[in-house]
Amino acid sequence: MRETLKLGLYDRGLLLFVLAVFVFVVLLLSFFVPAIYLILIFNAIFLFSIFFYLMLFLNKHDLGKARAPKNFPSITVIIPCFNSKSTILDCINSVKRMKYKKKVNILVVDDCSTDGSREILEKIKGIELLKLEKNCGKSIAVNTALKKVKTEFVICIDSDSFPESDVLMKTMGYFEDASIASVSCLVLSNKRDNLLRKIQNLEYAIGFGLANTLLSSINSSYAVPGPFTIFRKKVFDIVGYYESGNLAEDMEFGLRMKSYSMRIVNCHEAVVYTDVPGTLRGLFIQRNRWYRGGTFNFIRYKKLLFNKKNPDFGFFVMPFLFATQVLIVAVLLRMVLFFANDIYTFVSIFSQYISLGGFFSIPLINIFIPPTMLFFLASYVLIAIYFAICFTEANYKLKWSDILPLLVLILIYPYFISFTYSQGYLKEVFGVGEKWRRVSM
Amino acid sequence: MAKSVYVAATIATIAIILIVLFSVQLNEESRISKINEEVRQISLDSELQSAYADFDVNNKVVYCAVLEQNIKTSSNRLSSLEKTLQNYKSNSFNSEEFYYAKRSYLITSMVLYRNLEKAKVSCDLNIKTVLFFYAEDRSCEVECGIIGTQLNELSRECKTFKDFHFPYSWYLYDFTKILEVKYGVTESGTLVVDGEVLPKGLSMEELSKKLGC
Repeated sequence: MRETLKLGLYDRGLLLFVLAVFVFVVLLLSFFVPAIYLILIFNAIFLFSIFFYLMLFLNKHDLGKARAPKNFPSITVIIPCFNSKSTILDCINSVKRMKYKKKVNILVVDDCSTDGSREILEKIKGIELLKLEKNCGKSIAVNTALKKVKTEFVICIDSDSFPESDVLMKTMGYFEDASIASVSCLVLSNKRDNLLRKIQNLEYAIGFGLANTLLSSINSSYAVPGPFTIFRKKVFDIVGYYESGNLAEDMEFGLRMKSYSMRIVNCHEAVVYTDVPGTLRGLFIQRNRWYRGGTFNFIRYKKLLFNKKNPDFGFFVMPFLFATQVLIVAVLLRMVLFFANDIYTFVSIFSQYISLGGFFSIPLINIFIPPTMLFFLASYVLIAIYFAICFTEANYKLKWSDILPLLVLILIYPYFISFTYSQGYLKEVFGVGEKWRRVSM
Repeated sequence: MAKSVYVAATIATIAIILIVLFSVQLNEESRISKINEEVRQISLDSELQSAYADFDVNNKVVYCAVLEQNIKTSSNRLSSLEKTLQNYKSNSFNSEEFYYAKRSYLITSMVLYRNLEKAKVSCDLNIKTVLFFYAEDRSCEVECGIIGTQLNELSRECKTFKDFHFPYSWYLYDFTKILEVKYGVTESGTLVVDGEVLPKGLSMEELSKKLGC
């Protein structure tokens, strides 16, 4: 576990200021605008984002499809490995199974594993093994390998990820367009043995699938996911290597690529499987890292905001994403404040009432379905349509056993994500230390 | 391309919101018309009482029987209406409609209260009238919450009183001020039983005793 980078005082102050403005506006609205209108506003924002994706899909529905290569340039696959005894062999085997008309170099960097991974790696034939003498972290491990790469293309893959055999045949064709710097794939969960993993699998099918493809259609994807991304080697020569100590080093690298106006595209027909957290605690740690890293990197790359070189990204995607994320934190803080007030009122009434010897009763006549339900209904119908398109595009056939995870994903999971994001944001604001921890097991 | 996507998404969002708002409006209209119908029914009952009082006050047997019956039905209607209005307030887009409905409700309550007071004199009606002045804002949340709950509890089991709830000095319904002036009410959370202002912080037993339960 290593200490990570922290924001400077100015950036933390900026985050705090933005949050304070949002909280102020939300509280102001809460006091002066009926709650029903607030729900309407939040619903409108949500509806807009869903419609935005749907419209993008209608405009460019041929994106994200497989593109077979005509030429077969040289490729090196870099696999950083740290204590991955249980997955590294399968990972390498799946890489070896990838179909390609030229030999694919495999460069594994052992980041001073202590669980026996190194011994396993030493026995594997057909790979080049780099051994680090001390544990330096994923970024340094990958960077060490990158400096040795001589091929035209590089694939960075996590040691707990497993590409399908046809990934290269579906993605390398994209690079025949010289403007494309990097191609990412659809990432799915390797195991689906419990509810949490099933939920994440569906979440990935949407987020790493069509959503990412649609963003890339307006040159606004900044995702170069750790589980599997293909880069032109010269990308690293131009923008530099991965940043060490960054909680979300792949996101940082993606944003850095955007700052150089590089084009990242997503092919959601190419599938890579990865291990995802199987426990709530593990998921919380992972998402905390992602969202903290996200906040950290967004503020670091604030220069991309309203940047004319990437108009869709600079004027819409980045401000919209950042604003909705801060809004989530503000709304959550408002909920906590109001909830605390409600709890205080309830306890006051209850204790005084009990002391007066009375009893509580809830008249059922007071319960009825509010009109706001209609807004939620409209939103959920649109979500269902959008999800159906996402799953169809990802060639993911929904099974009956997916119904429960899907319902949890839509109805409950957003609250967990909102909470995790909020605490990540606040930790970043207050500069609470964090350590990089591996949680996929 | 992207510009047209933003425009289309915005138009689609607005369209959906308008469609939903239209549905909500239809729903609310039906709800408010039900509330108004209830208020009108109570109002008609009150008018009938007034008519009897004006034309046939000496025929106490008929007048008082009608009066008693009307007061009973109106009271029941009024208390369920109060809950409906409360729900409507916290879940409605149409604040103007709510304002009119609440206004009608309060005026009807005042008329009913007046009739009840008259009936007590003319028909020897043995019932206590309770005025409860609550706060429309959150200034009396705890205290008014307790009193409101106490009254609800007691009214379920005890038929010796009829309670009327009025907002204390609220600018939208300033016509209720006349009652505050009449009984010398100076703050929210005040109870007036048969014209007498009760001290604050009464326990359930004390209030129950005061209300003759």
